[in-house]
Amino acid sequence: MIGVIQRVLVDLVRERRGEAGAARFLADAGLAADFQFRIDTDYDDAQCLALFAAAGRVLDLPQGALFEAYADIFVRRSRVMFPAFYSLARSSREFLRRQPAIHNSFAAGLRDEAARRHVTDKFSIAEDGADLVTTYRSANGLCGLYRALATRVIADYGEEAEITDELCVARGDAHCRLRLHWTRVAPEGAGSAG
Amino acid sequence: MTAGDQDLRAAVEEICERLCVTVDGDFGTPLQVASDDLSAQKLGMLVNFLLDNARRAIAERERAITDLRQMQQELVDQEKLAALGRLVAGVAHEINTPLGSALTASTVLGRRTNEFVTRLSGGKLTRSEASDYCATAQEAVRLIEGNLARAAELVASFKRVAADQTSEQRRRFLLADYLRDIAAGLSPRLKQTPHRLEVDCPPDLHLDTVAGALAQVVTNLVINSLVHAFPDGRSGRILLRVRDGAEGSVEIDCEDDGVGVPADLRKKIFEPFFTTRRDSGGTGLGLHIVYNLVTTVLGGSIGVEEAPAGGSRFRLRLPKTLPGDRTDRDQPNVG
Repeated sequence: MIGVIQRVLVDLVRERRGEAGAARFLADAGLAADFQFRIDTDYDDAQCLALFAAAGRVLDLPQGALFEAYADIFVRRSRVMFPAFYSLARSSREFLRRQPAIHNSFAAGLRDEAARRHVTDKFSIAEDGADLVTTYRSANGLCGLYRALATRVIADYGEEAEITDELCVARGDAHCRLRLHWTRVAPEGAGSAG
Repeated sequence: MTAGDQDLRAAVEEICERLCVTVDGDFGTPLQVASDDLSAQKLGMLVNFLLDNARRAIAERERAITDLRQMQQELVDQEKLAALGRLVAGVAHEINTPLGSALTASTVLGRRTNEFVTRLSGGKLTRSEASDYCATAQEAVRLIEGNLARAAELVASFKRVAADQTSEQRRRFLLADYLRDIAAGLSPRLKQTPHRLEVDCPPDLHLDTVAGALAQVVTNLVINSLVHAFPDGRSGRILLRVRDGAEGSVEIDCEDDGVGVPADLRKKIFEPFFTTRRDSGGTGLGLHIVYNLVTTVLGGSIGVEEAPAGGSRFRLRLPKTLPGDRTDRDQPNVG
């Protein structure tokens, strides 16, 4: 998984448990206390999943709450790290429609073609009228994280949407598919709340 | 300057150097900036994103070129098969005439023989009737023999040319005979026009080359003249003239006394898909196939110029013996 995810996860632990807590969190994962995940590097998926599980324990949060907390800091941090991604999108729909392209741009620097495909094959999006239908293909089964992030982005734009799991690997499907149906959209040209 | 600024500066310098290398086409290895600075990593991502897009565009272009070449080759192959199909159709039409005559003669002979047997068995056959029957039978047999021999000759000639056209085997053969076989294969087509085809070739000139390729080249050149040289409907002359050339080569001219090829078109005339007759079904592949066969399979060269009579002259220069293992004896014709 591209390191921006883990980088923000460490920030979440640091924000709630301080520098010492973050250092312990990294040390428990076998990493140096000052280890910095890079945003242009693909890290081991198993390590990332273990970090999420460890973060849940450190922060004493069940998975759903952990994903919500993570989504909140991710949107705040990514607004600082990548402000143009937000300013270019006038609505949450526009932002989420571009999300696979944004996600794939992180894989552009991967040297190994298989690693690159591992990243770029994960997300695809289709427009179905006003709805967006996101297909998520990953053995990591982190569709819940996507749902939390999408929900947070939609709220960030002052909008509301229903997100329905049409397919889910947790239910035995080959991949996950989520339908995003907006029930409230911001006025034309309102832009993001950032 | 802060440590972050230094990191960023180092990253920018690394990227600049990398881009200089990329100008030489090294898109394969993505850039990985050493810096831990977030801005440096973002800059690296941007450059990699641009390089990745350039790499994909190049790969896409190369794939398109490969597809185009493959499609072009398929069209060339189809055109070769179509040419063979036209040859088969023409020869089938040509054979039909002697076979029809032989069939008519044998039918007459059969009817007269039945009448003869009836008269003979009834004891009513007169000497004059017997004499008439013999004369009829002799004439019928002569017609049947002559027409069947003509049909057999056409089949043999066709088999030589057609079998060669489906094979890329080299063989040694007498050029004059082979050109006459090719001309015979073209005669059904020529008969539909007021034009005539003549062959002027030294009788003892042997070639050791890929006969089928030569047949296809000559056929395409003659058909090209038939299609393009005489748009005004007047009768014309197409001449295949052969000269023993220097240094083991032979020159074969295919010239006509038609309208000729305008000078500005001569450079393009061998290009694939170049045709002035696309609206009448021209594929623009006939002369391209000729060029490819002459320069690759036959190891020679071809050019086009104005003929003395004002038409076009295609001049082939071919080695009499292809490089490689030579064929020491004439190969028997497959017919």
